[in-house]
Amino acid sequence: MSISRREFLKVSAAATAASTIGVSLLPGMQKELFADGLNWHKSVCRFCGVGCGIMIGEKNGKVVAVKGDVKNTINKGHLCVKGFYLHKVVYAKTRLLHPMIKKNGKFERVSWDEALDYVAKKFNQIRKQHGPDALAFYGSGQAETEETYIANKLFKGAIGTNNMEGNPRLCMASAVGGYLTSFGKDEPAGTYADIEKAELFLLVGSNTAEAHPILFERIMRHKAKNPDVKIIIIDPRKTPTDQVADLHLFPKPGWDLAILHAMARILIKEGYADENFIKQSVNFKDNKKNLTYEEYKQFLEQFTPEKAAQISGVEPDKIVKAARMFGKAKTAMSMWTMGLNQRTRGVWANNLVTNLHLITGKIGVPGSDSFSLTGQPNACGGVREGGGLCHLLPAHRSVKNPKHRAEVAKVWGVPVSNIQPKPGKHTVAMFEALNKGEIKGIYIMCTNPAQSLPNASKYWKGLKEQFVVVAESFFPTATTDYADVVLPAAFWSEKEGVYGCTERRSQYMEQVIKPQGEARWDAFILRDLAIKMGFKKYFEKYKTAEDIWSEYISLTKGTDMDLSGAPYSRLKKLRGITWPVPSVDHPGTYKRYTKGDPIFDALPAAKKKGRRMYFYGKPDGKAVVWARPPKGPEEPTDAEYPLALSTGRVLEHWHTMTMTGTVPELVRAVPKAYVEINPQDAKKMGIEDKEQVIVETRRGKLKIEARVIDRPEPGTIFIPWHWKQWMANILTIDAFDPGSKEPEYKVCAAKIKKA
Amino acid sequence: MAIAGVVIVTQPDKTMHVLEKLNEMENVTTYGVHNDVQIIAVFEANSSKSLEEMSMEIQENIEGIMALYPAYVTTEDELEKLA
Amino acid sequence: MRKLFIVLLMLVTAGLLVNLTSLKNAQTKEKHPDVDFSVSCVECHTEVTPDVVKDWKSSKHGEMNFGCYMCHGDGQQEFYARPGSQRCISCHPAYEVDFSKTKASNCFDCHQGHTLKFHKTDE
Repeated sequence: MSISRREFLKVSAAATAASTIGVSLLPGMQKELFADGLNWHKSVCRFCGVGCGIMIGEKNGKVVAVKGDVKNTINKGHLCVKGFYLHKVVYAKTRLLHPMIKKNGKFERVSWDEALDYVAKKFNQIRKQHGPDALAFYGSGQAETEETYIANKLFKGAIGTNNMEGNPRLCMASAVGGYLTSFGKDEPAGTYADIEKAELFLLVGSNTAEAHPILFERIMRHKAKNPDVKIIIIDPRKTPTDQVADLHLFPKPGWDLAILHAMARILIKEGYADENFIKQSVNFKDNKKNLTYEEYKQFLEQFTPEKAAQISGVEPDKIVKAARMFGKAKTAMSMWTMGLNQRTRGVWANNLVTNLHLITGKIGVPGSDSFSLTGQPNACGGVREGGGLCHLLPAHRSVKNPKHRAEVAKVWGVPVSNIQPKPGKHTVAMFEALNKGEIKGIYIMCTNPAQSLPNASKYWKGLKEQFVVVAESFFPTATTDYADVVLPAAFWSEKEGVYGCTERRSQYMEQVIKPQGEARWDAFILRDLAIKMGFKKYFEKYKTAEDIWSEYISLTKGTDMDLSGAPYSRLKKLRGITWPVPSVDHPGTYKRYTKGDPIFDALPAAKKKGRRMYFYGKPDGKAVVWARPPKGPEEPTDAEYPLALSTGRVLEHWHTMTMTGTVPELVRAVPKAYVEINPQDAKKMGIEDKEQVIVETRRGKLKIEARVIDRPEPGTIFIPWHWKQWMANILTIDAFDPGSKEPEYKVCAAKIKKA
Repeated sequence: MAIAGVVIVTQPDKTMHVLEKLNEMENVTTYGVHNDVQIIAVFEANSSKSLEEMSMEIQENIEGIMALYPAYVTTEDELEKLA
Repeated sequence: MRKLFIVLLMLVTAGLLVNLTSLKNAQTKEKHPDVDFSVSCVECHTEVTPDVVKDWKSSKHGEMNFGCYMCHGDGQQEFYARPGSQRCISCHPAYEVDFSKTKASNCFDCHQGHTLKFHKTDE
């Protein structure tokens, strides 16, 4: 330690001591107490999809602290408990520090060259013998956009397979399907700025308090200032979010579609519909054909409050009350997350929430939006926008569209024939194909499917039998157990890049420290693998993260998600910007499809005439109100399996705990998994609180501690899914939505007995 | 290296004595007396443990100390080890 | 948490001379009693210190479910029986206070630690 540094610390120490007795020792020193000699760097939280700004405190090449970024518009300096401990994760004992190859069943440390040569050789062998579709990539909504972009190019553009997926398939694919079918373009019309302008919140299938705490905090703050703000919750379970609820509807898990139709019926019947908006901007459809408004009304007639009550188990007067509250409020914001998305009719559920906004015109104005909450920090940015799913190409493009393939191939510098026109295998099909041996080699990046897939144990076979490469920051995980090669990946703060959060905001993150051990940036691991596989001419040009980002944003130019006005040089100065942002002097877009959206503004006047919104993703600019059948869950309860099992999250942990499990405080907060059972059910079954029980479904059995609590309704149980040793996903069902291919994690049938 | 900022409370008639004794010590720097009974001082030691020991010693060996409040402790080396 | 600022005890100011009896704690690193750490903080403290848990639950921290560990550490590797202002500032950088300009010397001169309400106006 240098003398001047020591002197500084001594003076700080003295000043602190002085301040404790109310003495200002040295004028001007007080601020230094908290500035404490650290270098602060702008970044984004590594956990959920809210996108909170975090300042990283670095000193002598080490991350030693974090604090909320007060300049960030999303969290205004606040952090939740997970973000608060993020710096501890960087130095977790479980960081993977060296490449390893499994030899004779044991991992052995190898050099980067040996590891990548080995992977390149194996992948090329598989490709040669079995064709490109025998290879697959499984990525993550936590990877940076640059990382997903390079993976996309390697697999779809160079290797030539569309077997390129990511875990966002498991969390927000239904929201994508919902937005595409309702509005014609993916992602919400509004932003978080609507929160402070909304008079009513409709939270459906969202435990906002625990899954998106900083947004919950904003809602709470807004309601505290404006007591007339109302909050309606539709969720089968009572959660900490209920603290602020004015009305809670508890449907039987998976049976909520009828409620949304019944609400729509009441809204129209009682005169809350915005007839003018409907005329201007809305079409009606059912699964087969276009409907007239009248036909839609006739369709709704079956959904009387009583009928909806019969289907959903919610009291009819509560449904009426909810509809009236929604109708009376001048502005309304719906928010939903996994409770709607992780369903075999997730797309339909998304549509039906959006219906309420379209028929009442509560959209496209400040304080009104149908707003999907995302689970991962870059599911929107990297995977939805970056095109990291088997049917997509970058910037909301589709592999099926020849024009899109040509545009992308040109920028990638690959022959257009390399990009297959047929979508690849979606996540569940991909792991099924591994089981069957149709896929023989997979590269898994920044995710833990052995634990996070539904009906997880079914898919361990394929992981065991096929050639599995896992690029990860942590070791071991449930997935590295099955790996043939593990590659150490640089973690948050050790790499630069962009995250795009729920509200269409892209934010730049600085590299603050060197990666731990021999860890390397995922995009460069993939680049070097590509070069070793023989694709040097396509990949050697990427020297920096900025090279990749600049190429990517060139592909967004002129699309609905134009980011061409957001180069690194600009993003480095901003706390993110919400697309479309077509030029470097454009301030970003608050509301889509309406005045202020550069795409709307550029439309010919004739198209917009008399219309405040133009949904330019649809041929006639009209959004669709869907008349979807009120289908229930894939596996309803029955006499043998009488309980509906739902899984979910707790505030303190995140996904498979590879990060939060390394923070002692968070482990202490919630040390183990449990199954929540309603006291009535527990009494019937003679189960006591904290007793060990066995939860069984048609797919598996789990021994776990009972928590007798009135959070779940009678007839339903709940397990937080984070723990490897109490793996809830051996119980969940892998049935998926036929549209979005997103599995139904949220509902299956179960039974419980004492252990 | 560990550094602590402390407030030492003295018996009113022993303040100057305590101050003198502290100033004699190699690893102690004083930063003034307030309200006649509160001395602000900084201790330096090799580790937070030796800081603790030092605090104990000072309290036991210097007559006239009524209390010793550490207000701030920094341990840069330990931090690095931790990392 | 910032290791850099391990504040062992900061509650000095006016109560200083009155509090002389509790001095020994100031020098020793605090230890949480050895308990069954497979039970969460809140679960155990609901039984052993129900009033404290009730106060906490009534607060903004309680509403947000920001648990004991946020201020007091995990209890094993780190424990602060009476955490200082620096732990507040990590989450609340917007409220960085120049204490030289106030009569208070730390956050808890004004805020009760668990309810977070103001001592004077609420009591």
